Amino acid sequence: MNLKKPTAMLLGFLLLLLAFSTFCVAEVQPDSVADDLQAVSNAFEEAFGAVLAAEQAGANVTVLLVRLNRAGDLLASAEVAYRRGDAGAAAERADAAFQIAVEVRADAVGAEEAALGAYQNALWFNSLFSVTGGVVFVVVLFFTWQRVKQRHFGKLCCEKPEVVGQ
Amino acid sequence: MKLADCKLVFVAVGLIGVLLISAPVLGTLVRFPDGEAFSELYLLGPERMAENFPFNIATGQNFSVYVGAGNHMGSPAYYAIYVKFGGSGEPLPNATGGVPSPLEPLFEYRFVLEDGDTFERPLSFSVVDASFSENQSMVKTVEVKGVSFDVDAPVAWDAEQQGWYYRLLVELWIYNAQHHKIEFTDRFVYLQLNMTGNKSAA
Repeated sequence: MNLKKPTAMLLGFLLLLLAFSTFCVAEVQPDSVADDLQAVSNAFEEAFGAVLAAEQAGANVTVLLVRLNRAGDLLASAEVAYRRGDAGAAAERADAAFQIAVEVRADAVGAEEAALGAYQNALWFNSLFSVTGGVVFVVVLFFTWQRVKQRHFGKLCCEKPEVVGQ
Repeated sequence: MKLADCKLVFVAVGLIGVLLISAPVLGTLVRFPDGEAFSELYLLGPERMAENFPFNIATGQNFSVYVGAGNHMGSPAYYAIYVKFGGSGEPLPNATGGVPSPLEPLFEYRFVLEDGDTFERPLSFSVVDASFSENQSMVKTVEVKGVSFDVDAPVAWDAEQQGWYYRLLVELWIYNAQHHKIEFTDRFVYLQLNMTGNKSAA
């Protein structure tokens, strides 16, 4: 039985498989890590922007900042690892930082919306209070002034000298 | 008291009362001017005081200082601190021109601070490997916070000050929301270090 042809075919198939697998192996390439780091950096900046907007809208962002700083630690650590050539550690930390940044951004957007709603309600209430209070105050003041005027003229009438005919 | 004077008093009371009652609304609408906005960067010695900074160093010796930053920008700010190491011949950052040091950053911190808040962390460093020839010293490897970096920083002998002088440089960068990037804040501090030799040979 001639085994040369099947053996050659098998070897050829194995070589093809080996060549194909080099493209499929989940090896972290430095260029992809650099892109990942840039994506994380962008996500962090977006999360910070959202937190800043929430803070300006009046939301309490202390907890969000704590989480964002955790992402910052991971991002810095990823950058340091990348600089040292440790692409695996850089990718792992970058991924963790990205997750946190995305979550913080979503929570910050929600906090901003809630704060804006609360702010608008407070503004309406304050405006209503101010206008109503101002009107009531002016009206009360006006009637008080009228009473004062009446009393003043009343006193004048009582003190008015009588004209005694001759 | 004349009636006209009474009228004046009532008008004044009315105006003051209306102002007081509308104060809550005015407070949300009127913005007062902000004070000067700035960021601060500082180094402290190992006892968290502005003293006992390391100066004479040798290979294998560990040193620890504290690096700190403060936010006085009026709103939360996103900062980065870059730690660099190089010879004393390397140009320092140009604070007036906003140009950072050309040295590559080794270690970094990234953090967000609320207005009025401060950031302070320990910064440990050591020279792991250095070589010395007749007129030149070369620091090959430094370790910052337990992480090794190949720096290959040469320095010529400083005949005037009698030493091989290096700098551990710390720069403060801030995120600019308008430009969407981190920019140098013109704030930097550094430690002047005199490389005395290898610890084993010292």
